Amino acid sequence: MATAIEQLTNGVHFLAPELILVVAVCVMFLTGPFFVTEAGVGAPGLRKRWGALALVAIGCAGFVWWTSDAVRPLDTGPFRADALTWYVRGLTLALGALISIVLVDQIDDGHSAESQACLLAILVGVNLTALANDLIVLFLALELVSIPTYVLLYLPRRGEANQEAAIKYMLLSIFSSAIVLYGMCMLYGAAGTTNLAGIAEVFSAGKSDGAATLVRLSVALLIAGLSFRLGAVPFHFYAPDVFQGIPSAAAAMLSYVPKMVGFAALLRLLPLVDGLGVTEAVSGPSAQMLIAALAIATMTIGNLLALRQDNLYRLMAYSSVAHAGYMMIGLVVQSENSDVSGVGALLFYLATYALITIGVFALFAGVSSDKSPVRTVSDLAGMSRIHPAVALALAVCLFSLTGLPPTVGMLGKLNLFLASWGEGTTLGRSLAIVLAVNAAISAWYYLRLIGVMFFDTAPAGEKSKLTLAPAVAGTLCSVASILLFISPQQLWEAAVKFVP
Amino acid sequence: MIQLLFILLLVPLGAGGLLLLFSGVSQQRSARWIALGGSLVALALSLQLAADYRALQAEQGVSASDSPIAPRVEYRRTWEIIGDTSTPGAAADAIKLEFHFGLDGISVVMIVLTALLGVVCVLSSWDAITERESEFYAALLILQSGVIGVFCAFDAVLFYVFFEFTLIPLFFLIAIWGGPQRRYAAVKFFLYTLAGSLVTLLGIITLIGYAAKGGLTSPCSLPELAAWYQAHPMDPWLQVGVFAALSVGFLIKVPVFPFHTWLPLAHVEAPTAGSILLAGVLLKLGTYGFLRFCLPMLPDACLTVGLPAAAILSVIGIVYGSLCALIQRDVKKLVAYSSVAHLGFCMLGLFALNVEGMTGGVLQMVNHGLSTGALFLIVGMFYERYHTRMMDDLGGLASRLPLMAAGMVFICMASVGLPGLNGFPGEMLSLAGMFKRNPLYAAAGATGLVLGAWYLLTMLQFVFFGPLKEPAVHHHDHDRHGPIRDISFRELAALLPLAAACLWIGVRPQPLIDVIRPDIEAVAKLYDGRPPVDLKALAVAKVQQRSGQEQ
Repeated sequence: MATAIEQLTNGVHFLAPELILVVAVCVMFLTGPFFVTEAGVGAPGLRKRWGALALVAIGCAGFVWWTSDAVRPLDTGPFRADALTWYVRGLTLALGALISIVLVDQIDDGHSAESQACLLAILVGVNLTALANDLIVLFLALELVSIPTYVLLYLPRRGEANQEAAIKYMLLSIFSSAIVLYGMCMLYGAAGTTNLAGIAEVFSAGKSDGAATLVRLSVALLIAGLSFRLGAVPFHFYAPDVFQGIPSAAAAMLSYVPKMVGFAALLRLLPLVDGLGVTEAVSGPSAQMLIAALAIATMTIGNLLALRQDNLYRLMAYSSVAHAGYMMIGLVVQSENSDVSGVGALLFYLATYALITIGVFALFAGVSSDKSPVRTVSDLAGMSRIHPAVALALAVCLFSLTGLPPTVGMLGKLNLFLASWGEGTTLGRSLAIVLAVNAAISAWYYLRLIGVMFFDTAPAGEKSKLTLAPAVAGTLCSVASILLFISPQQLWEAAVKFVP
Repeated sequence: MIQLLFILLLVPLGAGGLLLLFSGVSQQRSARWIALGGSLVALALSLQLAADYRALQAEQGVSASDSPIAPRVEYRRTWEIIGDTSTPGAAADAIKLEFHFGLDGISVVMIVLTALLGVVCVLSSWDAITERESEFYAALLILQSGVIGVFCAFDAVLFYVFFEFTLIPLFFLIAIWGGPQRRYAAVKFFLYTLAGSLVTLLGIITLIGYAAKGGLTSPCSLPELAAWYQAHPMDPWLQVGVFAALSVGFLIKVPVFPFHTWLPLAHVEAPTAGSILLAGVLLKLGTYGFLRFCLPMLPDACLTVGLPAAAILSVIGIVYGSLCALIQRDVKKLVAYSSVAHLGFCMLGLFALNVEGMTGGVLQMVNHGLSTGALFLIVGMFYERYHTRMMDDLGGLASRLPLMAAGMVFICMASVGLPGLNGFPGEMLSLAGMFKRNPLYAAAGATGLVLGAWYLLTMLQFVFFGPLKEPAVHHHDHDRHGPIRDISFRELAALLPLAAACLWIGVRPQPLIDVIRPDIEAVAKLYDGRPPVDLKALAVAKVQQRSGQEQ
């Protein structure tokens, strides 16, 4: 039996992309303060350099990711690298680069080093979540996402709304972490080990049948705690308030990263107790019903609340809640009954949703300026006249969120439909029907935004100038959503490779 | 030939994209010339396509094929393999989405109709659209591409993709360039049809999933799917369920009473070109969907449930639509309600489920496109001149606008079904087909012919005959319009092809019927001597079987 230190040193080469990012984080945190005055003001243009450095780091990590093929066999080590890890890494690095581009112009020069460093640290946390093969590592990875997030939300310091958002997110996030930790403790208590492979072994051997209640409780706690990150009802209530107060780069990050870590953690944890023979009561039906109920509540409530929002960021927050509900359908579908893998549909949907929603926030950032911020629906009025290209790109993204062709959002929903309807159970069918109803409801508020952009006249007065970098990033997202619609095969294959 | 089809798909799309690209910088007035060029090229290509298709058909013979759906030209390319792709063996079994384009007689006819109406639309908007022109024509051309895509898609999901996609440009057409209530009309149209088509999607997915479970390797391909369902019919009750799900979207699109409420609003608010395309081809997407999905794949459900349900709803639609048209004072709304009635005939024909009826149904799809398109065109023309469409404000225009009046009378006669014009063969075949199935429905539907003549002739009498009555000329834009003139050369160029087509189909419908007949026979063969299923007995038997097992 190797010692923990030996295990770590053996596992290091599985972590090469993350290590590159961590080095960049250290460099930024350590040298960043030397480039600003004592009052915290940096030379103009400094933010662009830090942004470039972050992009270079992400690029290097991406190169290592692309050339890596290390797949670690499932053992008792703290890390494991499999298809899910590969997928999450690639997705996180690509989307992280987009967020980083948006972030550049959203932060003053004095705080740019810290902001970019926080973003990179968050990306590392996401990757580690997917790499974790141990409850401790999993929890640390989740915290590595959360703690830099608090800082990232707090750094812009744009008045009270921003501070309220940061504090609210921090308090509730800590609360949810505590719930997750509690759940993990119970799992450890039932299984006697923190290693995920070890836990699976114990449960499948049926050694812990006496602890069924404990395991059931722990599953409920884990689902509850991680639902906070997914933004699932009833743990969604922080989302609109937080989104309302933060700049668009942070909002883009918040609509992707927590969902990714939440689903990655659930995909790692649920199979441990799912159908592996703890007892029939814990496995399968009860957890499945719980998630199904959460999914239905999440998408319906998210969509209904989004209908009445006038603040763009609140609207997008509720939209992200609703999309979390769609994705949870993928967790419910039992792959063995369906031709289409539910988890594959989930991962595919997550990638496309993240791409599109980051595109939306990037475009908001692109047309927003300090003089004329774009925060409410009416701020978009007449956008098709002022910035026709941005309006078109935004319309493509919004149609994609609705799920209309020719955008990849349609394929994402189609995969979920095929997975849930093809399962052939009443539960799967009713989920598909609820999904269809919700897709129709959501069309209303996305259409409303398009209507405001294309049919309302622009208010008189000074016209906002375009910020080029985020606008280009957002336009890339919308073009990518059309290209992915035409050739989705690569992404889909990467997504279905992972079989929990 | 398939290359020709791709070029045809891409020409309007490309022209639309070009217009969109230069919308900010180009000379606005040049947009319409680009649009006209694009749509004329598309029309020429579609005519060439039809000629090629006729030649191919002559070469291959016109015998009905084995599969209920059999495109003569096909192009297939894998789009997305959904399912396990880890090994080649598993990938071969997985659900495959394909870019599967093809052509059969029905699609060729509908494509030519779409291309023809495209040109008419551009000409009708020539002076009417003065705002954001390049965007307008871009939306128009992109819409045209989308509709052509529906008609040549032979993959179930690809069909749905184009079916849904057409909503987007039409939404913009109505909401930007429409009448005073345009926003409301556009949103209502969009949400109504979107909600319906999502239910249809569930039906399509059931069709695909059932065949995939049964072992069909490419369950999205319509020809293979139809052939498979011919060999392995679904349980009749399941057929009824799938039929109901599929129908929701198609019934809304057609629209059949009582799902028609979005239509009059959308028509009245849409600009003339939007109305022409909406009535001319977009409504046909619904009937075309029935023809591609329900009729060939769910024969028991169509015969047992679909036939009476569609017939009753169509008859109600015919009578109700006609009565509504009769009391309208707004000419455009009258034409919109007449659409509801005319499409009732179309549905009646299709659901006669025999060769005569279905031929009539498809003919009626074309006829309605031509004559209602032309009606909206003329309504647009006098609206441009007088800025009103209310019958009470107008009268005796025949003395002021003799050519336009002549055109209107001609088109109304075509629409009413005067022998010698296009409405006649379509309506007669539809009713004759239905008469063979059930004389009662046919008789009830025939009242629509009388009512149709009544409301259209009343409208003619009010607007074009009697003492001359014109609304006061609007002075604020008087300088632009000048004195009211009769039909211009451009308007004549838009109207004449439609009128010529009406006359041609009326006098010689046979060439058109020859093109579509083999494909219709292939579907109608399914219903030759098929007895209706006794669903109730089947359900009872099932319950008994189940209770027997439990004991």
